[in-house]
Amino acid sequence: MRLFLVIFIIFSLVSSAQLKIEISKGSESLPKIAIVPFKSSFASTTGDNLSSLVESNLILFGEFDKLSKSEMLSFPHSEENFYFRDWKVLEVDYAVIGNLLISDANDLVINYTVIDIALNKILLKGDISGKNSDLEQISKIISNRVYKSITGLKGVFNTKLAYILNPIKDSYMIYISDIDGSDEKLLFKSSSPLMSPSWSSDRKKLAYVSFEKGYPEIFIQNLTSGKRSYIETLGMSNSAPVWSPNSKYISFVMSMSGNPDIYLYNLRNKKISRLTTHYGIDTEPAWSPDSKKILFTSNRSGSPQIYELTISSGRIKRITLDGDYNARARYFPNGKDIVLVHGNNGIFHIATKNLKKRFINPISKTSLDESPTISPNGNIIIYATKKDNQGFLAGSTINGRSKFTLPVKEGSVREPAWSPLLN
Amino acid sequence: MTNTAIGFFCSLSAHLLLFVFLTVDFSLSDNKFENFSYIPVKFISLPEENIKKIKSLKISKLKKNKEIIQSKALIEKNIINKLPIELDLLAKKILDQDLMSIKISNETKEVQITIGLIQQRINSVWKKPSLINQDIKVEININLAPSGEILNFKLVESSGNKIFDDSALSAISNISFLPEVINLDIRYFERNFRSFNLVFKSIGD
Repeated sequence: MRLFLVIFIIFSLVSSAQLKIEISKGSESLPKIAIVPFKSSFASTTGDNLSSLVESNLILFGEFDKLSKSEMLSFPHSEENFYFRDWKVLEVDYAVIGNLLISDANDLVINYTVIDIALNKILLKGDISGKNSDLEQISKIISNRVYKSITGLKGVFNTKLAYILNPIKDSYMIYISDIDGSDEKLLFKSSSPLMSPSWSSDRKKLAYVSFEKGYPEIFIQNLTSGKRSYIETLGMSNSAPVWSPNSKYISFVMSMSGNPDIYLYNLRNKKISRLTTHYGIDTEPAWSPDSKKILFTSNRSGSPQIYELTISSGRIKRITLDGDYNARARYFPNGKDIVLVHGNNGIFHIATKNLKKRFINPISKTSLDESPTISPNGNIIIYATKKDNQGFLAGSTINGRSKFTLPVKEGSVREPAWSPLLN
Repeated sequence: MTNTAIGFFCSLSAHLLLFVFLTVDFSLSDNKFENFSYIPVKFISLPEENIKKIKSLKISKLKKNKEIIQSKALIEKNIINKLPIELDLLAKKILDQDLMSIKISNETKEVQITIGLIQQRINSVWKKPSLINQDIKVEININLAPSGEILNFKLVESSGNKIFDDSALSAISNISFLPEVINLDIRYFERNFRSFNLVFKSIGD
């Protein structure tokens, strides 16, 4: 018993003596990466080109600072000649080194290593082989793996973006491009408005709205053949198509007798079923990652707010409570958080919200922001915004630390849609 | 019967000892601060002016609670008498008195300033990973020499997220010194900073 007492006293002494200091803010500066030029075992600049491609991928969304080549103290290409000191003194957080060989089949064989400078450890050793002509593709795969080893998140450097371009009055185009803006392809052009592009989960098709017949109508276009089909709705206007992640349905908005409601289009049997029947406006559906729930915007309470519909039960739950305007919601890949356009007193921001918490967290600083699209890894948001009457695409990491704008095109760019990842 | 007596005696002595430990002001524990209302004892970084303010505080041994009760009684009395302007002045006076009457030992003061400085330094090197509304924390124990040198550090409680844990460990690895403790009285150092924990939190600014 005395022992217990002693232990008890010692315990209470220790627990009251231990000082705890809380740290929650963190630094404003970004992690610094050094992509050391890869060494080619043969006389060529291929190694250098490849490491430059990897570098420009990794800094694409402003998530990292880079150490430029001219600042490097050495160019190691293997662990044996890698000295942590050289990089620590330059405040580098992560270094990537690599070398290229040529196989018997004349393929490139690339070995690369990701090193955590602060913790003195190797995060990843990888290799990949491929053709010299596929250098860009190879760089994206390497970048994805490097990114994953550093952030724990999937890399999205081989994803695509679809968007609407409106260069002059009465000229509308749908484009798809790589996420870095390269390899831009015109998908469809019209003198009537085009809207709401949505990717199929296999990235082979795109659904969008076209006014070519004088009213909004949903088209599905095959990206390889260019072939188009449309959802048969007997001439009723329909819009806002969104492909379900399981590829079985498209949810969309149809106005029967003038009142928009959410409907479901079964891609297999081409049947249409109705999901909401409220006299208010129900629009802008979005699928949950498990294809079981749909978020939508409704003015049933008097102002636009976000609601969540469970398809199997038909149960509808209001999600947003604060602000006079909440619309165009999309789920994060975790299915627990959403991104939306949040408006109060005429100012519109992109904001995030946890489905279970009330708090709405604005992430964009500009006003007049619209149609946010989330990267498949959930870390980056691209949205359309306006400056000097020019529409362009801007982006932000969800912690709001990194902001970037995509290259401005002639005319207004609107409604970006980030493609899913290919498995 | 004897057992009950022993039990009673043990419990009595344990409580007495506890009482002594918790009341005598020789260490820094969270629950002690809960009684104070105005001093920024929550672990936030202290701006220059606040530090000056704390330094200029006179250490008085006024019986805080009694005075507050008296002041409150005064306010209530005045509300009844409806003297709004004087009431405002009175409220200010009470606030000042309250601030002055806080029993703040020199050690608590010094330790708080040092904590603020350490927080600033760690925050400036911690590259917090991007997380969506995830509320996690990682706790790291640090052993410090009076020279400010970090002798060693170890993970006490993981956040469950390896990237988050590593970001905190990296932040500490990137600094080998916490010179903030150099000018501290050696007794204060030994009691507070010889071994302490850093808690890195994903939410909060």
